[in-house]
Amino acid sequence: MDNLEQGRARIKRIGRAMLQLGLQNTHSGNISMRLGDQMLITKSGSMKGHLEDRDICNPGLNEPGYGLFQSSSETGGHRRVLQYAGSLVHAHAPAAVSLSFLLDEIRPLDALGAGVLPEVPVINPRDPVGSAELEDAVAEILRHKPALVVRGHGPFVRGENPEAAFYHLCLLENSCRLILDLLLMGVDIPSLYGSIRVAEVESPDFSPEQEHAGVDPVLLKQFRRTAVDLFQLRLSPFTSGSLSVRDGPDMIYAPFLASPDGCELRTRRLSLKTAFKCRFMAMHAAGYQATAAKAILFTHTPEALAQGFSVLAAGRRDIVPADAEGLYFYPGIPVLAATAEPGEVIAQADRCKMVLINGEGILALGHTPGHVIHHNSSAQSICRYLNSLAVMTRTGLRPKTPSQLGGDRAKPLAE
Amino acid sequence: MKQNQCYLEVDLSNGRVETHFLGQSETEMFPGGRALGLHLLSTMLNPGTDPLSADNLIAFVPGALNGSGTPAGGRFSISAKSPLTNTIASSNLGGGWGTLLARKGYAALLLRGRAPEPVLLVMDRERVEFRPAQSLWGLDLPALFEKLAAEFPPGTRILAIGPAGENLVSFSAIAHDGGRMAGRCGLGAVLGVKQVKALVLLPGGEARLPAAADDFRAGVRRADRLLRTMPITSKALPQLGTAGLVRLIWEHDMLPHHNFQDTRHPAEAIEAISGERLRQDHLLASSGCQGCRIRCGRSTRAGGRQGEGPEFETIALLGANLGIYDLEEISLANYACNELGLDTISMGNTLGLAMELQARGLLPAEALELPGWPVFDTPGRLEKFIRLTATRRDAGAWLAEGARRLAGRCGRPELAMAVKGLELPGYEPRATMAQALGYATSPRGGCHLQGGYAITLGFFGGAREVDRFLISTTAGHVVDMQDSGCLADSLGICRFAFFAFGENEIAALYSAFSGRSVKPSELTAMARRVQDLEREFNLRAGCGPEADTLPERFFSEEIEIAGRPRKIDREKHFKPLLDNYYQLRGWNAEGRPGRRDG
Repeated sequence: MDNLEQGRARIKRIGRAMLQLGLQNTHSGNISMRLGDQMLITKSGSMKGHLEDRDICNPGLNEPGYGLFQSSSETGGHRRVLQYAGSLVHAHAPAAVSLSFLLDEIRPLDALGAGVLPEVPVINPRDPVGSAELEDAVAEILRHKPALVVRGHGPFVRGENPEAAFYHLCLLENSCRLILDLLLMGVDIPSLYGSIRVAEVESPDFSPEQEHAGVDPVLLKQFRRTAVDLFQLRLSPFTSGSLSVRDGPDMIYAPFLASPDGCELRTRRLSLKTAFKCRFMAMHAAGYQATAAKAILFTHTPEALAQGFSVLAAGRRDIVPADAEGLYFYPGIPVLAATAEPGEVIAQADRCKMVLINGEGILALGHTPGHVIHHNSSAQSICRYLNSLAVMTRTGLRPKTPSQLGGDRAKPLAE
Repeated sequence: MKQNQCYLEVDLSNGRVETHFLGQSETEMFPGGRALGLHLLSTMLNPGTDPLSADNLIAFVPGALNGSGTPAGGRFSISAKSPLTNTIASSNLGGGWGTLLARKGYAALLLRGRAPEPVLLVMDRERVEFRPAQSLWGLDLPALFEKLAAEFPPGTRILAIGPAGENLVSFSAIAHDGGRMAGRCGLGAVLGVKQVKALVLLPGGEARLPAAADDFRAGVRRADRLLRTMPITSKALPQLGTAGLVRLIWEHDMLPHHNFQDTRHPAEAIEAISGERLRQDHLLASSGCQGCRIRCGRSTRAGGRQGEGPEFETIALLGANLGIYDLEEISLANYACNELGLDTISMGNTLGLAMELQARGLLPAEALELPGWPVFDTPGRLEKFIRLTATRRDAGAWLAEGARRLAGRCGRPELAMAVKGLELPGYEPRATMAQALGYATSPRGGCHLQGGYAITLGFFGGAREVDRFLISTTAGHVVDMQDSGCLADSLGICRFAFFAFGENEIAALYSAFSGRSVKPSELTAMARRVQDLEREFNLRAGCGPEADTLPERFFSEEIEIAGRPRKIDREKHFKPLLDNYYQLRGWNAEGRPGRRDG
């Protein structure tokens, strides 16, 4: 069990991460965790990105404690959830709040989100802030599900610890951004559910101590840098995505990658001859066996997933960039069905540097960690522009394409 | 509805009762409570008056929203020149007395003169009956209330003094039946010198209906909802009372020890006097002011007896400050103060001084001739000291004068932990600059409430929280908090409600109730005007800018706070704070108000 100092440190780290991702404004939201027979929770009105020891209080888990003088207005709900969970995080996550105005239940379309949070209820209490009704609903629903969204207010997500709760929050927001993008682009969403392969997701390991047996420290630094960039650019939700590099007959493999600065990674040295059960590990290994790649990165990038669904729905097979840099580097990004075999995925990625697996994410091949993340982040930019073009076209704004694609005479690419 | 436009004036010397009318502009500028009390005193009382003379006036003033149904809006004020501080003083309390007076159509009751013998004032609408109270004189408060409850019909509301007020103890209180107290500034002694044992308000009166009923209901709903959702008003105070602050204040190195010589207490000792322990071992039920949903009061049992409290301040001053960490003893001491009519803050603070004087061998020979001097860290005798003080027996004769006079009499005035003569409550000023400035500038002296309730700024102000060691902008925050407090005291709203709602909600409620559209900025201007007038009264009473300071200890003695030794640097920290404060109030460099309007 954590001591007080460790507990506070975990909450501070999650608060900082929430601010980095823009999951709320500077002050809203709250984070709690159980610490033995006590609870810790962020202080009402505290700046979550800059929490100090004095911003985390103990209002009592079973009996009222003096921390109630400072604690969040949602303390009651937190206290009740912490009776059966290790941590509860509440945020005013913008995509989830936006979708809550429209839906009564959020069903993630991406394979990762659907695997972890298949159905997220949207509840609509009469008094959506700090009320007894809200407390009751949160306590009851989260007993059976890891996440819910309060209409117009935001998600409540639980986990075994603050990191696990934050993981659920990030997955939910990622899924909501994808759905929101598709809605705005006018894609028929219900028809897409049958096209995804729901991921069998291994739970991330949030223990603070990680082993890096036999990994070159310079390489480890590159892994860490990539993990932070993935997180900050939202290329993949917290502790998702995987990076590997080839090292002779082995690969150094880092799962659960995206993480803010200060989080430890887990790396494993794996023989490429291993018969991997894990689909992602198998794809990484296949990449090294079939190509000259030295590094492989996989990310669950929502902008790319939205564009992938859109491309397939339009009967096309490639994402063709509309922006100058995208076109300069990547003539097209193949989009493969979720059922594609690893061999086909790797072959297409080898041809085009990267490939989109529908509903899952972007897999890129390259020489170094820095090289592959360039591909994935480019894919994000490319798809972001294309998604915007689709929304503009749909709303009758008649966007013009760059001159290299024929200027405004060209048919908008996103159609 | 319109504000009540008249007040009742009773001359105790000759029994004359008169009704006076207030002008429209007067009730707009001074809507009630502390504001109207100040207005009546500043226009009718010579600031140089001896507070313990027949010439002192005492005003009982309902808050402007008393009886309206405003959440936490049942507080009223009692104002007079203080025998403890020689300044203007208003003391604020809950209970139904203020509401009942307002329902009888009065904006205030003003007492002048001195009754030739102890009296009981029994009031209905226009009728004020003087009843001899010789037989009641000397009764402690529970006995008095029990006797009067048997005599008068249900719904009667009573204010009274105990033996401490009768004996003109400088920090004697006025008690409300049901357990509320106007504790600070010794207003019990003002009633004592006037020989008024109790003020009895008979039931009856008219409901106070809002001018704009729908708007008012909407305002009440909003305020109520905010009170229900803020943990401090919906959970912390109802479940733990103010005693719940003990551990929090201790954690921040603010809980005084040994007459503010340090803030070090053993963790297990703090646990033993915490609000959590009070709840676990002594609480019978929560209690509250009339119509209040917060219910921060504690009905408790200790030592086979039952009573109200203790509050945080009582635990801090009568417990931790004296090195006594026994909730039962503190509770019994608290009951004794309630029974005798004593302010627990001043009592505990004065005992702390006496203990330091004793420990340092500074008590003069004439004092040592008297038995009954208290000693730090010595439980088992608190109640005895309190009874000696209320009756002015033995060492109690010296204690009854309060800390400033006791320290002065012993030749060590700097050891009194008081500002303008009012003993400091349970927050160490070296641990927060806002608290330090608030103590120094409060119109009634060392007070956490009229000083701006800086604990809110430092520890649970939500997004408005201010770093406790900040100098540069702190004065502005203190001014704002003092203004909010003055507004609350004038409209009759509990300070704790401000944890949930603020000027905007109050302006909406007041506008809907009075039928006069009032902006938040106009309410703030009213509060500033009141504080300007309080300042002018104090200046004319001889309490000038030299009194806007703190006990020397806080400037010269370093203690460990937040991990390092700290004191308040007079030139680098305190003076700039004070200069800034004067400037923000529109006062000149000598602290004299230069304007009257908002």
